[in-house]
Amino acid sequence: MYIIDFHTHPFISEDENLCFYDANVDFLSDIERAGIDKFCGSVIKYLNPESFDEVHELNAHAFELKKLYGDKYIPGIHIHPKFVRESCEELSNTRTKLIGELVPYMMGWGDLSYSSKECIEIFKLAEELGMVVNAHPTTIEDMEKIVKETPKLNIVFAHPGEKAHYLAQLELMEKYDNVFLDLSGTGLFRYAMLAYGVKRVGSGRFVFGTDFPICNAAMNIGGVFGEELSQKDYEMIFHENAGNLLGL
Amino acid sequence: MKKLLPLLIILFILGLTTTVIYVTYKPSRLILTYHSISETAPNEYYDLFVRPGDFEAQMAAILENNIQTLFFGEKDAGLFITFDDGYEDNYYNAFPIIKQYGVKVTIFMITSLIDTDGYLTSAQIREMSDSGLVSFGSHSHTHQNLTKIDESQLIEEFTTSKKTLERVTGKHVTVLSYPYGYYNNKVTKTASDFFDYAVNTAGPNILNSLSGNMALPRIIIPRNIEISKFINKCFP
Repeated sequence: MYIIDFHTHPFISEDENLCFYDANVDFLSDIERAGIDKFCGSVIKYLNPESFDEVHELNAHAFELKKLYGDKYIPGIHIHPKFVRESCEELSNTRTKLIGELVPYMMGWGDLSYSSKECIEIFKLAEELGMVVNAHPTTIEDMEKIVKETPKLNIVFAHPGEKAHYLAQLELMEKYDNVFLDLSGTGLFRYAMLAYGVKRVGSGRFVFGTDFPICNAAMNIGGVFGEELSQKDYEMIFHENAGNLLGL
Repeated sequence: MKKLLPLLIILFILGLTTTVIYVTYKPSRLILTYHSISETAPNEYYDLFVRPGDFEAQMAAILENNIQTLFFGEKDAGLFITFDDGYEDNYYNAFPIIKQYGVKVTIFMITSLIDTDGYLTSAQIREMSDSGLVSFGSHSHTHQNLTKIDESQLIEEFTTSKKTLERVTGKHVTVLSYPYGYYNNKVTKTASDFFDYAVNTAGPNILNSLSGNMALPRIIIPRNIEISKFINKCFP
């Protein structure tokens, strides 16, 4: 099975390596050992930026890594609602189609949520440009506002989460065609979670993700295969949906 | 012994002071990083370019504010302007501005790409080096992740890139930029046999401060930086 991991966090410096343990992570060989063929995502670290430069540095690192990983890697870039002009400039010039994973709580967004007017302005440009956002979830209300404001922008929320949050995300997916869910992080370890979601919204709305190296990539692959799905469902979840979203 | 006591106290204080100065002293060295200087991305790595007009405004600001630009090895404190990879637009777009404003810059060249499409030619490198305003450093020979290759390959990367640049420029090459900013203790140790200085891709971190001149932190200049913010960076 060809596998695209929609949600990873490659790194250059140690403060960008968010593996929880003091492991000697060799990003490419470790993720390939897990069985992943192509991976996407942003470089992240804890920030409270005073200027967009600090955010830009992470984006520049993603593109340094693109040089290293070539076609195996789709860089995801950051925007920041504190810096609307600079974020829009960043989007206008990028050649990647992927924004994020955006992680507001890590990146010092403060009171500016997805549904803030600043973020909406940036997301509207992303919508115009035909981009895709991978967003760490906030409250369901906040998430619903942004998907409503930008109906043509494909937004892939990260992490199914525990039952109540997952069910609320499924409701959003039923209501809005532009909402997708990546399977990284908490969720897959609850048996039948994915099969239940596929039954409700179809396999076209899920993309495979791991959050590697924060989470164990191989475990998530096993998690998907452990669910009773059709061969076509597996193909869609493991690579077709991500390919369609990113125009691969 | 009583007669010696004041002397011992003075020696103790002097020793302590020297230790404190040694531990806390950090020269104010600021290293800026550029890649391509062009209106559009030279290739799919979009983020790594600054527009010529912005680059010119930044160099003009350096001149207006009397900021001295340096080559590595001249002084420890000051402003160092660096470019990674060695794109041909460094010659066509940056070099005229460098000459106009008389700033000193260091270009870290991937030496296997010399005379290939999109990168500097030997003649361009020689001309830039001869101007006295452009110094060349190694960005390795083949731009691999140096932490993933063995000692003999590391030596090959350093030897070939250094010799190639020294042959083209006729000048001693003393500084290295780690490809992708990846390095570890083994890489810095081997690099120190070939170079006096090495620069990193990222800002300061713990490993930088432990690695002295062999992992100097740099600041990436974003394409859209306002000139006032640029000046603040150069005069923190």
